[in-house]
Amino acid sequence: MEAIKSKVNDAGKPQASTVQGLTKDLSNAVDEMMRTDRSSATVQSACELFLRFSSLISQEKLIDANFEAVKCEYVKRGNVFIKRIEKSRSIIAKCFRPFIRSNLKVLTHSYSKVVLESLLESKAHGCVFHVFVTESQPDNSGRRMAEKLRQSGIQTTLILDSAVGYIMESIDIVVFGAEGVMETGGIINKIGTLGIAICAKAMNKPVYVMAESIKFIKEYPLNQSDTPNKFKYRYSTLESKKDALDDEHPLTDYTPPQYLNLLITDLGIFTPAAVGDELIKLYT
Amino acid sequence: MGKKKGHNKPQPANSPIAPQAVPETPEPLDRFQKLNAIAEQLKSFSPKKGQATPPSTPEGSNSAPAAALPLATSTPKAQEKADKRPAKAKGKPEDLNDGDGKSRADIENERKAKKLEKQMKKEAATAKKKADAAAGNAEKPPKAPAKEAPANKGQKDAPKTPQQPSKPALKKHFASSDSSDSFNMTANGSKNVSFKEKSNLKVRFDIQPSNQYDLTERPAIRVSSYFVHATPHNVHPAFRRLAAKCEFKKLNGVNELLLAFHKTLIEFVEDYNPRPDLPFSESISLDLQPQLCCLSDNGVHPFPQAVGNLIRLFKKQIHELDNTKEICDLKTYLKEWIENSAYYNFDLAEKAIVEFTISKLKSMAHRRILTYSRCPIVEKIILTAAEQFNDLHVYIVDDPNNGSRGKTMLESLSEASIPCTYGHINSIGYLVHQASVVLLGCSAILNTGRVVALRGSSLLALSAQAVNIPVLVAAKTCTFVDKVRLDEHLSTALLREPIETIPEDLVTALVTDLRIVPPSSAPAVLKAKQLGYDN
Repeated sequence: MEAIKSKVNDAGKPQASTVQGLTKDLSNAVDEMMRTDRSSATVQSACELFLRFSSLISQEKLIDANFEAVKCEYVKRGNVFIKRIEKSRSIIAKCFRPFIRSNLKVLTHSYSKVVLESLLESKAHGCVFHVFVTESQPDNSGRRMAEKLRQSGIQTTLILDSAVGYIMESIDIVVFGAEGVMETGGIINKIGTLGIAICAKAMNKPVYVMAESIKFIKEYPLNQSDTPNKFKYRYSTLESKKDALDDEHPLTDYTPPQYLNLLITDLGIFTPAAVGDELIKLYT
Repeated sequence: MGKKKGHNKPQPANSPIAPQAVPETPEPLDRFQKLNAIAEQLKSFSPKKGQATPPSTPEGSNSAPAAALPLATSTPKAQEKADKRPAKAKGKPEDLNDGDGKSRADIENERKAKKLEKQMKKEAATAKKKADAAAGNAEKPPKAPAKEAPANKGQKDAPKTPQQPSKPALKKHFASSDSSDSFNMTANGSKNVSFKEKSNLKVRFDIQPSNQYDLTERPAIRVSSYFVHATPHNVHPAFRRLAAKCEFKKLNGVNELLLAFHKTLIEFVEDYNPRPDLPFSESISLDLQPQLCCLSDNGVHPFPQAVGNLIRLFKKQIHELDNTKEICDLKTYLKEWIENSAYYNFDLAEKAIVEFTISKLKSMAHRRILTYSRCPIVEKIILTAAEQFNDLHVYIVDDPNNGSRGKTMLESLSEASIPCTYGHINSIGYLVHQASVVLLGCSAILNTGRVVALRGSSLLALSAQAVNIPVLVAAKTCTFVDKVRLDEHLSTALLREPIETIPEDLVTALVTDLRIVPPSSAPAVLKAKQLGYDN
């Protein structure tokens, strides 16, 4: 989110004087952001989509007006894009509400803002449910999630990552966020997601994924080793240990579509199979 | 085919290709005359005996009797010729259907007639020597072949019983007659039978064989040819050549067939002269019908899916032709369309598929590819990949019952010095553990995402799933069909290879020329492709 906001600001700066120059600047900005250690999959997809969206200015405007006007158009569209994204989380929360009934036991993994917002919204509408959150090592982000949930009055239990198999029989639904949604319909999420998804499938528990549409990525991984390294490791790690990546623990894993039941996005609720088509629509 | 050669006048003996390569029209007349001559000969032996009623042979009027003697064939053949000429003038497909239906009966009986003739000729040669040694009588030689031919026929009937259900009945009769062992008696007895068959034959030809007859009598994988014997006069030789090539396995697989079909269509359009009374598009579509009927036996055998697609699109193009233009313009337009289609669907599409697959192979640690039989696209992929990667190893699984095409693949890959391992389908359990990815070719993709491929491919997909390795299927967008189900046991018109469908949950990805796609997105590709063609 912040990444995109900064990009819009970039567009506002009067540096380039041609459309090509502007796009070049924007892509440079993208690269800069990629070089940070933040979640790379989201940043990449978001930036890509932002670029496409803002460049989709009508031909007339491009030909007639001077460059200043074009830049204004870019900024305008950039703002539109941002507004849409800001709303996407609330749209997803609304879509998710029918899935939560009272006295439901929900399992989630690590810290995801989308999942947090959806659960809070459901609580605000009066549902009473119990959430189990995994600790999600190595960064212990599950703890943050559990605190935030407790603050809003939702019953929460923090469990060990290894206790998922034990707790699964008493769980009703499993909910994940996603760092990236792939063309296959599978997702890239915090390491450990795949294990939980397989366990849920084995015990016939439904798995729902919440992801905004900016997280759709145009990649087709076949298995874990086929997912690009830039999603699995931080940029700094990639730079410093280019050859010895075998020793590095990946931060994310790829969950294939057969373990997911539904994807809840701001474009609607999809089965994994349908995501591929939606993705293509987005990117064209 | 070889038997025909024996009967006819000396043809260029060094032509390895079937007589179909030679223009068809003079041959039937030759055969016709020859058969007539032989019929006359047989008639002259014992005209009186023809009236005696021999012991009844239990023949249904429907079943083809063993000794389909040429005399009977002459009459319906003449009818057929007469039919064809007015049919040609009208040019309506319905007439053709009737003519072809009759001719199938013709084909059967002609074939049997020829078989019998050939044997009789052989026996005549050998028996002559015996007869000369034994009696030296002028009458004996003709009787001897008559006796020996049925006896031999009885023996030969044993392996051929599925095709001729009445033969066992005849065989019984001959066996009983053979027990007597006296030369003349058996000759007479058998001759009586043969004349009775002749009279029965006349009744038989008035009945059209039903489709059911075809399915039970002929196995799913046919061995004999249906294209040649009674082709209508309005079939372009290019189509017949195509059929012949398929017959003689010079075209293996859908890809080669599609390319050849493109060329055939171009030849057809080039040589085509439209009828004067109809607009171009109507007349060419009318005249396209008999060509296709000839190839597919009047729709009894459906075309392979990809070919069906091509034909449908071609017909659509014809339909959309602007008839006000010049004929040569229209022809060039059609020819260009066909050439473009060939270019997009072969040169460009294959390049795209190769690129996509190699991008997937790049990210793999160990490139051990498992593949089945021979698909030209997979071969291209591997050859291109070998230029980029050093650690490629290919495991080829082959089906020995179906032509062992994997061997050709093995040869071409070895020439490129790619390390290969070859095994039959029974070694799949061992090979799948060695491999890290499965690469398959296909002949069609159905609407639901099911993959239509050579029989045996689903075994690879299933084992791959069991050991958790990805399955990639190289599919060209022109092979996507809007069907949900396929009748797998029916053989297709031009290709005789056995086919099966792979369920979509066994396939990880379809590598198409548009993009890599999960099998469930097949309808999206269909939509995109149809839109593309509309433009």
